[in-house]
Amino acid sequence: MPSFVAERDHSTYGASQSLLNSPSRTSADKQLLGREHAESLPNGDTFSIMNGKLPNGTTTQSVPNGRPVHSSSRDKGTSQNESSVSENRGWSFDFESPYNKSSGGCGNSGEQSSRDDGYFASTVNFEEQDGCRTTHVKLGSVNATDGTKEARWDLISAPAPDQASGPTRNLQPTQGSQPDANLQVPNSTYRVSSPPAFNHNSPASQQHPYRLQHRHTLEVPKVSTSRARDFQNQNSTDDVVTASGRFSPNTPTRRRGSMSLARRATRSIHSDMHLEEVPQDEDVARWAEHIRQKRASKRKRKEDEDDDRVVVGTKVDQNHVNWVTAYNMLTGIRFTVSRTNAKMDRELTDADFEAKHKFSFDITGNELTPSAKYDFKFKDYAPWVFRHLRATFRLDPADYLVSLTSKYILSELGSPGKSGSFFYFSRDYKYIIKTIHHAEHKFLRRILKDYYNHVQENPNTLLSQFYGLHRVKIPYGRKIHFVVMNNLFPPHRDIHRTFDLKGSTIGRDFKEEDLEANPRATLKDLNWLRRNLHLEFGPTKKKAFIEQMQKDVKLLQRLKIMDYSLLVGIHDLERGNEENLRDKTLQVFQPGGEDAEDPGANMLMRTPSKLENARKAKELRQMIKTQKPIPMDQTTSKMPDELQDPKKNFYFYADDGGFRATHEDETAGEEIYYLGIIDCLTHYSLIKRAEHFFKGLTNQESQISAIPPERYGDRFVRFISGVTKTREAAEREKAEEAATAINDPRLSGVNITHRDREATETVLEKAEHQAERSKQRGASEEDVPNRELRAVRSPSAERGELGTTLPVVDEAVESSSTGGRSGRSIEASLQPPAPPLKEESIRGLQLRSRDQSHHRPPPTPPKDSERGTSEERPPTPPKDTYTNRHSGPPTPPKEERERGRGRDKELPLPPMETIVRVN
Amino acid sequence: MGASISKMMNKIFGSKEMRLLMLGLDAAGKTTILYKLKLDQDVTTIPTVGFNVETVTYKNTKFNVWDVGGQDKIRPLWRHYFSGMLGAHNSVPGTQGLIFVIDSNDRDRIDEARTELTRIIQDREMKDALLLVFANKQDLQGAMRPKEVSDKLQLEKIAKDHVWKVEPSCATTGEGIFEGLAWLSNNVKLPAAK
Repeated sequence: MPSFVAERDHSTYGASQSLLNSPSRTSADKQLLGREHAESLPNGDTFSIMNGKLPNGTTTQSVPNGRPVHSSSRDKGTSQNESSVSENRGWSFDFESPYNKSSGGCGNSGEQSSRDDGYFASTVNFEEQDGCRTTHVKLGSVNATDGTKEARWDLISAPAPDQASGPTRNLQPTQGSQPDANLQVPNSTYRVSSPPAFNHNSPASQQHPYRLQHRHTLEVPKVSTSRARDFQNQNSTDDVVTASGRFSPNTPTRRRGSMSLARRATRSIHSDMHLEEVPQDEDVARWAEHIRQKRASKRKRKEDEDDDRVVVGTKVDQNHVNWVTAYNMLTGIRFTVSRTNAKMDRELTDADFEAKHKFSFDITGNELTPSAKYDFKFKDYAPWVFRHLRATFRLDPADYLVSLTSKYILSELGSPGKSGSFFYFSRDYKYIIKTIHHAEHKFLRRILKDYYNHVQENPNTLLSQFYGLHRVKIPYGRKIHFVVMNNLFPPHRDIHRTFDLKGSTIGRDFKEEDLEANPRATLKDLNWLRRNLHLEFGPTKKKAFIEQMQKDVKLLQRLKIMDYSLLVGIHDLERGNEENLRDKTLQVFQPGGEDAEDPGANMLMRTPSKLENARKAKELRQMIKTQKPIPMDQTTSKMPDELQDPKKNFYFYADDGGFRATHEDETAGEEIYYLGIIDCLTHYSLIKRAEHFFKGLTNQESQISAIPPERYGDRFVRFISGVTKTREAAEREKAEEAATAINDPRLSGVNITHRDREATETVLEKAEHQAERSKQRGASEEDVPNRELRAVRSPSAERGELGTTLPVVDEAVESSSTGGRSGRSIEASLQPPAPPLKEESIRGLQLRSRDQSHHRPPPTPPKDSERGTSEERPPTPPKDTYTNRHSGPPTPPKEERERGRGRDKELPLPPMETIVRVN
Repeated sequence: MGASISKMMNKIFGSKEMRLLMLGLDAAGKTTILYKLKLDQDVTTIPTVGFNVETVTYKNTKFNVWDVGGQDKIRPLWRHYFSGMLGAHNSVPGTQGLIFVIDSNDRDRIDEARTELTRIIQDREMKDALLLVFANKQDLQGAMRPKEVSDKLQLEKIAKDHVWKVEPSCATTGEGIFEGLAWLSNNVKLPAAK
């Protein structure tokens, strides 16, 4: 580079100026230049070479618009500057060396900009150029105010930025020139200490914050793309140095402000780091930054009051904190579990349930704790109890340790639950780490003994299996409690549908519209009912399942727990694993693991305001080099297709890790259920009582989720029992309905199925609840729906009578099938006027509806019409079935109900008639 | 806090502190060695899933010994004990060392042991570590002698960048164990000027 400087003085440039400028604007040219540059740089001669080459590649025509402006502005600047020129000279020379380097360096900055923010990229790139130019300008001024020289310099500098930013720049060829002009002028003036007359109006202001960030941070290098990096490497190290510090795209103006000083400082830092370090790739850089940031985060944040920074910083921090938290959790788990399991087993004592041990980790480790990358404190609760629990659940301690703590896997969905808990999955997908609230943690400790005893007596429990309870705390951070649990879902099977069932209906609906956006969402009670699904267990399994559930719920009731749910994951054997759902939804954090490609994570690249020191950074980078989150399907550790550790010993997890559906005759079914009772740490506390009270004001009290544990449990059991029936049973019911339906072929298809005949009480109860609910909401109509429901129970009796006006009926029915509840609601609302309808008739309706949902009888012409009428209704046919199921009462959900009302007005009584017919 | 105080004390009184990582295949005798050191007893042990850590003071040197389980399943966890203990983050006074324990009577798995040792010793974090190999179970008939062990482990090759020694030992009697520690203590490089 020094050679470069020397050459600058030469007048040879003049000719090439125009040429150089042009290249900068054209991407192709730029690239060429860049390459040439790179080649040339290593040699002392770069400059001359460049000149020679540049002209060849480029066309003179393109001389940027900015140019002329430049000169003019420059003149001003220079004139002002001249006074200071003599002084400047000294430092101007300094510049040169960096400047030359900047050719390489510019590239970096340019790239950075592009990465940082899309919008900045354009300006930044230009700025880079500007920056280069401006410096040149100075030189020009120093040597002489010649416009030509300046121009030359600009040209020279321009190529450099081009190299780096080549790709990005292409986009903004024309604009670039102007910004340059603006920027340059101010820059020059600024430097000289003249007032910033020219300041780039909008750009300057915008850029300001950014500049600051970039300036101080190490990140600048990070920002640069790998390509840039390579570039740097190729070039002399000097180039690299300059590039990183100085020319960060954003900074141009600033630099000028305090040119010499600022530059030197940055430069030295950067230079050290870069020189020493192996070329980093983006990821490494990013991660390094994150970590560094985190470490210094709080202090820095406070120091930097810049708004932009804070915003950015928060984001970064979030990502960062999560990652560090995960790291700390696993490190702590490894340590504590290892500690406990290395000892001889012994009987538990009461003290073990209360025990807690605290450890602090730091980078050096101490006599008791190994070193960890981050400082944190870790608390282990009742280690011996959980050791025994793990043994009870037949976990191999080595497996547990290795699968949990040798790699880090993060769920892509940060926080699936309302609770705000974070979920992390172990590498093999067997375990879940769930963060819990302090209250939950306290509660778990309180019930630990009961839980333990229950598990000892009921090894087949459906309750969540707790394997560990810990707390992690980062310095100045909050305390995070978390539990390790079993993952109900298997590593080797795709789960095609997921449900979370509570037996409550209010607010227990996942909007079907949203399902498209997130097909893997966990659905809820109403969705389940609408889909007319069942837990298809044959007699034996059903008995075992329900009995176990009852036992478990008993415990929960005794412990005053509520708000738990049955999580059901359904694997459809016919679909198998073809869709590879698992690989798509998980990301891996793998410390010290395999090399990975860019995760495409949206990590922010805010630069820390201070360098702690180069060495530390270097260490961090190396440390982090292999720690990037990568999509699961890119790792070498694939999800298994076979279950390696079948839990043969656990009844409900014995079929490929799940519980396989069976038919009435006990032969295996087509689905595997992965189910368990989860979220069982909600104590019926004051808060829940309050929730119960307030929700109870506006809703059917028995249908809200927050009800006293006793009733919650009863409702839960009844609901789950109600939906547990074999396919045969369901079909039998259907068949019956169908048989009845045959009477009226038209209706047969249309009618709703009521699978849940078996679900007698439960269903009925629910239906009633819903009905009541609907009552509350719809004032006047309330009475009617209820009556209808009751009447419905004896459907057959009046079927024939009712069926008079088919067309209308059809519509209603259809609507019900398609629109689900709404249809029903309509019926209900309509029906009331027709007291003659009895339970039987209703059943008939239910049957019909069932048939519809399952068989989806196509020939329902009314649909269209119906749709037209019931536009608002969601096109989810299952809804009807749902309502029908439950006691077949036509109590439509709230919305439907309302709609129903509306319809009632519109549609007179005909639907009832249709019903009759069906029967 | 406590740690820093003890470090200061060590400086004042000239005692050394060493962190040692003890690895080896399962059933090589690591835990037995550890408790022989610590308690001077021959304790009954179970396969270590996890680790034991004890601090032993011997001849003015404090040894902080980490005995990490050697079952093949959990060997992937070994590396989590490297870092900080040895290498880059080393700010602990004294030098660290690796004790690798061999079942001298287990000729079938000596190759496996070599593989594991190679993997460890070449880890970046271990580059400054002293290597002490205990050729354990010398009391058994037909046990490999130290020379044979070092040959079979190809220490000349795989540990050429390290200071190493093979020490014959018998954990149950304690024979050779303290000699090994003494060697470590004597070969510790003084901490880089602090």
